[in-house]
Amino acid sequence: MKKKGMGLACLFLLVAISFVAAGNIPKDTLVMAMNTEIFKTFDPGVCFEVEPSAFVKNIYANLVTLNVVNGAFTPVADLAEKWEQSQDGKVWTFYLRKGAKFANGDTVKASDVEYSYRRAIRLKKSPAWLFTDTLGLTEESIKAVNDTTVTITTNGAPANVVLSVLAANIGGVLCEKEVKAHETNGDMGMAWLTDHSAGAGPYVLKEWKRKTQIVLTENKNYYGNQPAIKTILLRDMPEASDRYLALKKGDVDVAYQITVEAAAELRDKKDGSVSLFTNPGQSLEYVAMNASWGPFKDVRVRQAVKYAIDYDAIINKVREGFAIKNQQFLAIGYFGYKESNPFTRDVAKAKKLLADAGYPNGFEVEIVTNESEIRRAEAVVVQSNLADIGIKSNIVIMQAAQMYDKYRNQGLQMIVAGWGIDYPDADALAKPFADYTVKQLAWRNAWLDDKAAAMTAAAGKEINEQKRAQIYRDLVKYWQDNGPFAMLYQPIDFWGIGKDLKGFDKAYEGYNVHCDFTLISK
Amino acid sequence: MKKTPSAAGSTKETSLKKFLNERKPMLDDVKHSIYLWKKTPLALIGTVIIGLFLLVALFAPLLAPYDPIATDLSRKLEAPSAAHPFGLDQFGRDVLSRVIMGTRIEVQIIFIISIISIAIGLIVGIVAGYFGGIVDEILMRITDIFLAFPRLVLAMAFAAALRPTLANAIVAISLVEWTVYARLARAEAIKVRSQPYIEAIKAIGASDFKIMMFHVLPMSISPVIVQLTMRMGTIILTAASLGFLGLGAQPPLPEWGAIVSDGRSYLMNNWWITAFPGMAIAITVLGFNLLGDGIRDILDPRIRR
Amino acid sequence: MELGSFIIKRLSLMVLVIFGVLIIVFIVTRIIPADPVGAILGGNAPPEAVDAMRHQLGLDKPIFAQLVDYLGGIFRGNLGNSLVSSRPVITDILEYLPATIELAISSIIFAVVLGVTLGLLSAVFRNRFIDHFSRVFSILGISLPGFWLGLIMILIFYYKLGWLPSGGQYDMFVFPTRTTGLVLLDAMINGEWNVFFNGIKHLILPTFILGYSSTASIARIMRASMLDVLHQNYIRTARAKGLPKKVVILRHALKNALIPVITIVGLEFGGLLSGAVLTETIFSWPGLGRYIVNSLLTLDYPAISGGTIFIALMYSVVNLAVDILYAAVDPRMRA
Repeated sequence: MKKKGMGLACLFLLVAISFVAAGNIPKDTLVMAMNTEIFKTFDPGVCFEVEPSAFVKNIYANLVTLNVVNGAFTPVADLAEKWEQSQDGKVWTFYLRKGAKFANGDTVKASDVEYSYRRAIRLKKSPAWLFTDTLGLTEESIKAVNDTTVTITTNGAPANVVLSVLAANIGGVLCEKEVKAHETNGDMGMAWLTDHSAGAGPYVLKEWKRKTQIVLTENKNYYGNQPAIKTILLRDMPEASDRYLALKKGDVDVAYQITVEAAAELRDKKDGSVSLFTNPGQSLEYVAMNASWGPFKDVRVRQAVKYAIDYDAIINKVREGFAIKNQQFLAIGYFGYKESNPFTRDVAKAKKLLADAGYPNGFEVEIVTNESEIRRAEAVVVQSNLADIGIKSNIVIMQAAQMYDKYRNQGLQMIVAGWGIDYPDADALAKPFADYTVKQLAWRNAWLDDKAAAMTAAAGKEINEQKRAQIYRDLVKYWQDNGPFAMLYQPIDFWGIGKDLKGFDKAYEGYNVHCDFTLISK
Repeated sequence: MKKTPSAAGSTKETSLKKFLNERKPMLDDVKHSIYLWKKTPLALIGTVIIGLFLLVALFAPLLAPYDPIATDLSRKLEAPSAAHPFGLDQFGRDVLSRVIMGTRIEVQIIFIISIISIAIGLIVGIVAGYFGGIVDEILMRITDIFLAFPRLVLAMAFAAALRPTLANAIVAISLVEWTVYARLARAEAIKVRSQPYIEAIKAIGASDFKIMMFHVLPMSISPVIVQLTMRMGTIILTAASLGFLGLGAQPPLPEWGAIVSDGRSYLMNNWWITAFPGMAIAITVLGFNLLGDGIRDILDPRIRR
Repeated sequence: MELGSFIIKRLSLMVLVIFGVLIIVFIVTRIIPADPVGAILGGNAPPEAVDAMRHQLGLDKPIFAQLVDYLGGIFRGNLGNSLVSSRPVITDILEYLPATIELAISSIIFAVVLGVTLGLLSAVFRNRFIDHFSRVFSILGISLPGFWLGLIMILIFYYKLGWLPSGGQYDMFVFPTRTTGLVLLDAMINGEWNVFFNGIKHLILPTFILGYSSTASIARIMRASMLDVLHQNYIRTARAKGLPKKVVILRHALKNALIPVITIVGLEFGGLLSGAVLTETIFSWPGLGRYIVNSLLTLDYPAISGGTIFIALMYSVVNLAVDILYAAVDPRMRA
């Protein structure tokens, strides 16, 4: 009797399971697969990671936003319908759009802008330096003149820099009333805003079940057009192969972070139901040498390394072609950019440079990188390239926390890493890479070059565009010859997307500086 | 010890004779055990596997057809073929060569962990059991603290804190493993301490150190070694798990768990990177477990009878 | 010893051990060679922001003051804020705990049912085919690396056959109502049967992988204890009285043979928690094990200490319960 019962139960279970089949994705729902490990918060004053930022952008409206016009980032009106700049360029006045509402129905007022910006400054979280350092803002710099006018007093940074920073996540406008209602222990709503939203953008954060999924739904009170996609499901799939398969099976519309091999497969073998979208990434990948460490003190050794690296192998084999050769600190399309790729693999020349520097038999060096699959592969290629000119290298994989700690203290000999662009202006790239006084990349690699620092500072202040561009060109040349960086490439980002998705190219153009889910439909 | 070398020598001699005499029945036991061994096919299979494993490790550089860390990106992810029976990984490295060279790393792991954990375990256990009282109480409470964690979790925490390298993973696992041997050694030490002849030796002036060294230690070693063979499989699994989680051996070291982890992103289309090193772990651990099982059976009085 | 005083002695011992656990965890998290601030702020942050964050976290205080802060926090039930999620660690843990409990319970049930069955059959049909089979099957369970077997299962049942999902607790368009946090239980309470069956489908592979390794020792103990019981006089008497073998085994022998299995289940619980770390990582299971792995990989030290302390507590409590249960059943254990 008992056995029969068990058997029946098993049978029932199997039948029941087989009937629970995956349904098709509804037309007004967008499902994306990603490793959501990097999501820490949706608070615009705190969030500073690449992928989460793109989502925060779609939840919060800013005074201005950046659109891509003819391949260049262009500030356009968002909550502010117009703005003006004082004679000396320091005081900005923004006039708010009439009738813009937060998701909870409250009208967006100048006092909300004042509160949001002051809050970001007072929180002092990761992105705060964009306000305090780049624009030189203090809490008093932001004033709500009346309900629809707000003034901002900056340190005189160029207009493009000011508008770019205001369009970044940190410039997201929060509903003061709602945030204050959820304050605990004077945290200015930080705990609550981690997984709730109080913005005026096209979407609201509905649910975040950690390590499972994140759900955005449309903001019915959004001032702009209602988006075609009403629900966005962001599914946590930590494994690249799972994301790829889910895409192929039609379980998801968009797969983030698939392997380069999978991306190449999508690109090369056209398959009816899935395609690949690519876009130049807003970051740069480099190898850096600590200019205060042993042989790297000699500029000839640094040049030897630059000539030893097989850039083409890294671009074509490691990245499967998903990268653009770019051997300067300016990203493609940025102010002052002009193609300049002087380095190609030349073993004889590299060996000669090494010999001239007094290292005919090479030396031993430690290459540090983090756990990313791609970086590890790049380190392996660099290791074998260096071996060809007699430099023996050991690869040390470090966790990000450990790597940055040592890097900040100039404690690494050689590193394979990348730099994500903070705001889309040439200054945001020249400073970290060439000016050691800002204590960023140049300083971390102990390249304390006063000439490069002076040129960077001059370019940052120059108002004459032609002159400014010329300074950048001279700086690039000087920096390529003397600097501690061997620039590997500018990555091409890619996403696997379902065929029935429309407008994805427009929505993700310029990702992640620009990302607009409202342009997507099915 | 150096002060009276002659005295020490004579104590050693007499104790050695005594040692052998006491163990006369044990030698017969060993013969009987070997007989039982031959009758236990699974233990025999285990012995053969471990023998092969050690041989492969010994001759690894001769057996590996290619350089285990030489990369060739133009041939990455090639499927298994006659030239590369286990295929190539995402860097174009020969998986078979990596698995073969990996045996050396596994042997190293087992060997060093055994030595460190047995050393700590014996010292703690013997001192605790021999002195008893407050010393015992303190040392055993410390042991309890280590036992309050699930083993892998504590090993992971140590490995991450020390920064993940093979050497640190070995230290981390040893720090977790020793408790097993400490408890065994303590039990033996308590047994020996209550023997009447120990009182006699004490009366003629032998120091605590000498008694522990020449009387307690020899008695404690055999149960510890037996236990060790039974735990070797677990040790390899723990090391491989750390490697898999990225908390153990780092690339390009061909540690088996780390290779499995390497292949994870390519599982769907390039299963061989994951499958073969995993099989190597499985077979080796199986060998140790069969061997340990055989030993357990042979020592089990119920089965001996 | 009286059962009462045994319990008191055992409890006070546990308090002492837990204190030691706290100290060890503190030492572990403070020898971490990395700057947690780097992890929070990322690679682009300027040095002033780094110093400010260091001060905010109290990392610029002397080590002893940090220890006092840490212990004080724990006694107030505050495990600090995770550096990654920036939420209180205790909130994080409580969010991930139900998934782990669900997986642990289903695995224990699987392991006990399978282990007891195999052990029973082995003992009854000693040295016959089923005995050898069950031995090989269970020894494979402790030999095959779970993380690898899990991947192979995903390869077969998800990638190749498409029968079972690769991970997670339920499918994408399944929205369970949260009552207790245990997906299956909630589904039953709320009558959401699609969620229930979906959850079962997602549980199959992780349960098998996690439970399989515990099966071996349960089967072994069961076999030995069943053999012991079968040789007892009362069983022989029962058989001699002419009761059928099946009745004797199921009615009389099984009950007594199960007692030692209780202890082994307690011991296996530690192995289960260890295994959960790997299983949850393989199957993207939103549980405590994966939380700890991630916190170790990102050197999120408040999460590391909170997670390990929590796991150690759970383990200690289960061991305590098993000891007390066993002491209640068998007075010889009260030594």
